[in-house]
Amino acid sequence: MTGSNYQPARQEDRALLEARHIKKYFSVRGDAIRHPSAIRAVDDVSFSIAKGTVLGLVGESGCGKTTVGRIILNLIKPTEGSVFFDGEDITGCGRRMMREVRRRLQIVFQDPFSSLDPHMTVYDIVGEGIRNYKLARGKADLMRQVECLAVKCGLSEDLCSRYPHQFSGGQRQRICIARALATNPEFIVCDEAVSALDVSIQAQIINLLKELQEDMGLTYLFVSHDLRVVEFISDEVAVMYLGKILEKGSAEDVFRHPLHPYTEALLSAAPAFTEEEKSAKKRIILEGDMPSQTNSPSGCPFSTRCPYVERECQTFAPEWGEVTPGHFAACHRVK
Amino acid sequence: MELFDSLRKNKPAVFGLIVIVILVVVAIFADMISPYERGIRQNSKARLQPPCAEHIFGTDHFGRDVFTRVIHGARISLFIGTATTFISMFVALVLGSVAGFYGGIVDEAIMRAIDTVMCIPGMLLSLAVVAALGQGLGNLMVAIAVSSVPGFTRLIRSVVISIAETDFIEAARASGTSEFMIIIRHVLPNSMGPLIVQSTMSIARMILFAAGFSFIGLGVQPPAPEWGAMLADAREFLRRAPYLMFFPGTSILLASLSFNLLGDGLRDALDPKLKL
Repeated sequence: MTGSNYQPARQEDRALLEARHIKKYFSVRGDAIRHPSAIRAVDDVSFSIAKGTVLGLVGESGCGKTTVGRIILNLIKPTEGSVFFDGEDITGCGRRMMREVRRRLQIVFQDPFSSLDPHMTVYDIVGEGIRNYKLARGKADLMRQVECLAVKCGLSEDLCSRYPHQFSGGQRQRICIARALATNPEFIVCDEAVSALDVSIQAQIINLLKELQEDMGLTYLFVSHDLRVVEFISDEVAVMYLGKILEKGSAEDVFRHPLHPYTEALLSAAPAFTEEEKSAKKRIILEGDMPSQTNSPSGCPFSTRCPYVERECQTFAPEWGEVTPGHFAACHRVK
Repeated sequence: MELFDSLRKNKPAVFGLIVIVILVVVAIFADMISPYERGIRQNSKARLQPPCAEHIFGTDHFGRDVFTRVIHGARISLFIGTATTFISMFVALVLGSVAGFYGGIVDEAIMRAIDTVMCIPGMLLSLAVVAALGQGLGNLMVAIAVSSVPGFTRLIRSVVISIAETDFIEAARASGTSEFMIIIRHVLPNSMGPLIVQSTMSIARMILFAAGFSFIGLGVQPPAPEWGAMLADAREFLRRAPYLMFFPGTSILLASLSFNLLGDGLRDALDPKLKL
């Protein structure tokens, strides 16, 4: 299976966060005859993220990217596998330890409208984590800290007593980022953090995230379906399809020399803007939809849509292997 | 303030609100407004008098001033309406939010129990409670509250479920907020809109319910001036003194109509689709 001969991170770049063989199956209730198996939202995914780097996780809708993000934060429990944070297994840990880990792990959600409580002011929203962990001395200190965070995220401090509905989408996302930074975390999951925003605002938010990452030495798992955004912000990129990682490597390698046909197809689907880009581009149009996650194809998960499919692909699952140093893929064609 | 602005455009709701304010003021200052003390003193010389300068709503078969009784009746009706709503709302709030938020077996247990209670018609259930506990104001309130808990619980559960799925709940969880504090800080404040609407409507229903029970003699006991009980008394004198029925009857109508109109207006003003 994909990633079954996955090797733990090398010692020199110690991983801040490591996912080992995580699986999440959602059981389908009520119809045992037509749906004998569960939905395999995440099917044996492993990766590690070194401190201070950004891993971009790309894939089309429904491939399980978001589920991976939530599993890492322990907002949902994986069916199998474990997540290590700073060397410790956090999947099965007790409530007290989870509380401590939650302070160091944060999340920015996709939808800046539903992720802010409409009845709270910015002070309350951003201050919630600070209050929970008693990081402020008194009310004045709490307010000062919130204002400080707001300014850091590009919001004026006199906006802090306002309610979410008084802000635009971009400003709301800034509030979300300020909230995520409130407890002084080391790791942030950005779950499609810019997908719901206008393109012009996207650029601002991406730049903000990148600046914060560099200034504060943060580590991101950047989940997105937007290749350009991922290319800009990520050090490493993993490509997900049908709950599995098909290819992983440095952003440079994956975007310039894609190994897996699926990555190739994804890249060809991104719009080209300059003449140069247009002429260099060959368009691969995938046919059909992603297969149902209840009965994923035997063999390679991508075999039903792959333009280069061979008989071998339909029967045997390709091995996960290092093709060039640091660049992994699971495909029979690149062995 | 936003709420008030959109409410002001709704004429029926404004009417309801004005009537309710008048009723509340009357109920609070009943002792000062009413010309005759407490409305229970009898006067055998002035029985069944039609409305006149001295008794503007007339007098009943014991010579009691009907105006005074109607005013004091407002106090009882409003008290029953609001108190029972609060009691049943509170119970339903606990049951519904626990069921909706935690889900799973807790939800299953609570909701199946609620379904069971719901199988019994509300009126019958209240009758059974009154029969078991005996008559009287307190027992009547318990009886009415019990019969409206299931409906409220279902409402609150559905509201809580829709809120529990939003991202800001996940964000709060990720910020280290405990489950209990999530309910207190995020879930309950956000479910207030529909609850306020339902509570307002429920007061109307409770007033009708209480009047109905008193009418059949199971509610507030004489000589307390309760509108339903006054109607029951007036039945015997329908031909000789129809005004006896008119004033308490109109009061019941106005009170329940106003609360319903206000509730409708609040629903429009608090429509969750327009917010968020």
